Amino acid sequence: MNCGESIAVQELAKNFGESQALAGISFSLSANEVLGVIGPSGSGKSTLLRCIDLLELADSGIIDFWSEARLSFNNGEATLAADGINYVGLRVIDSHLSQIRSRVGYVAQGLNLWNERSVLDNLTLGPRIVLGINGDDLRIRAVELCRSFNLYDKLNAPAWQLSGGQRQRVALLRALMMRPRLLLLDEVTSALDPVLTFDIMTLVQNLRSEIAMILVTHHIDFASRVCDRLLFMTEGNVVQLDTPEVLESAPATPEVERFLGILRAAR
Amino acid sequence: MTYDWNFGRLAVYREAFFLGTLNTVGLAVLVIAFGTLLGAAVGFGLRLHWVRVLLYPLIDIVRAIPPLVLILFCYYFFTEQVVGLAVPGFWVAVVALSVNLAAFVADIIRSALDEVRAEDVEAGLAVGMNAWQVRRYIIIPSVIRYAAPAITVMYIGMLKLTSLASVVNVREVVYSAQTIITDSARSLEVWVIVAGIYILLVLPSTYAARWFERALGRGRRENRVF
Repeated sequence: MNCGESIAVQELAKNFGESQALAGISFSLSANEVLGVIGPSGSGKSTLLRCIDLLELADSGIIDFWSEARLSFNNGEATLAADGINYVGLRVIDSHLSQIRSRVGYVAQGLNLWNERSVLDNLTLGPRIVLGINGDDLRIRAVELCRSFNLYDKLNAPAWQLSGGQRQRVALLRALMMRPRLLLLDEVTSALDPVLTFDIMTLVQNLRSEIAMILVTHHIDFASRVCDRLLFMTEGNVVQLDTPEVLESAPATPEVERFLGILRAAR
Repeated sequence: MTYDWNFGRLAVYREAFFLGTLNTVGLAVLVIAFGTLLGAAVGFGLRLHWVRVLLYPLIDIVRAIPPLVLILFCYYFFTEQVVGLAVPGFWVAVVALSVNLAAFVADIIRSALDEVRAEDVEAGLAVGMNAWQVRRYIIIPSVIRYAAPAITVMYIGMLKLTSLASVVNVREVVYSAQTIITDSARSLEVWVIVAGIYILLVLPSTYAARWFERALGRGRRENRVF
């Protein structure tokens, strides 16, 4: 494992009862890489992101985070396979998991904003509580971000009052406020009009020099433009992992070709 | 109508009314404090299967007993002969009414916990909060928001139910009224004053509760039809 790697996933598998969501997925992501995950509904894309953010513990497999913590999963329990010090073999406790989660930003498909809290609260609660950052500093940063994302007049509005596009931006900013090393975006451009999609695309492009990203999307233009590589999934398996150009010019299976065709037709 | 209203005759009992009111307020405050703490503890505990199995029947039984019966039972139970210790009427009333309040609060808290959105909890975990922080910053504020309207109604009801403590010789407003009547023979005037005292106690509490509810509900998402 070299230091340029952000995370490495090995043979990650997850079942929900009888149904297999992830069937042993492996890939690795370099430090500032943007990886797009595409595939039909129910192919395990969201589960993959949730497993990487440790919101679901995989049934088996290994995830290596920045070569600092290497978690091995066994039936919903995580153990430290290596962490550079000497805790190998220890069951990973809640505080380890939250420590890793605090460095992985995750924007869920449903956005999961704290509806009753103000935009400012949504942005500052996490870093204040988890990172222990002083409230005034956070406020300044949150106000700055809101200004550059056209949310300034909504700073004190409760999140439920926001429009779809505003909610999406707040969810993204909330993840960014934690200054994550890896950002997981689950269909952030769904339900957005072309202008807002462009805004998000610009944001992702601006961020790419700073953090690694994995984004699940059905927006093929968006994916091709911002992703270094695309990972095509079906039924919990990786079918193809290539640059957008290769994926388009040489799809690995007829299924990939057909799916890309549909996405292109739908854009 | 030939009844000769005479409130002036009661001026000498000012102090007795005042002390009675103090005892009513003191009793209500203690009952609300203990009842809420006990009820909240049980309500959170009801998330656990074995606690539910053990305590739900007990909660239902307590809720089935009229508070007056509960007070009288406790009064005759906490005596020298039964428990080897005579508990004063005031504390008997505190215990009995707290248990009664707790039984209702527990169920309200339990149902408020069911209302907490899984997405809110997950968002807390996703930014890296640990289990304790999620409880403190996500779950408890939501529970308070959902439970507050029902619980404040219970509080106001409890303020009035403290009058039952008069049967075990607690010198609260109603008990004081009865002794004043014996002494002055002005029943109607005394009960008018007692009603006035309760109105003065309850109305500000009602308005405070409503204000509190509005303050909490300000950010609340409502699919209001009306």
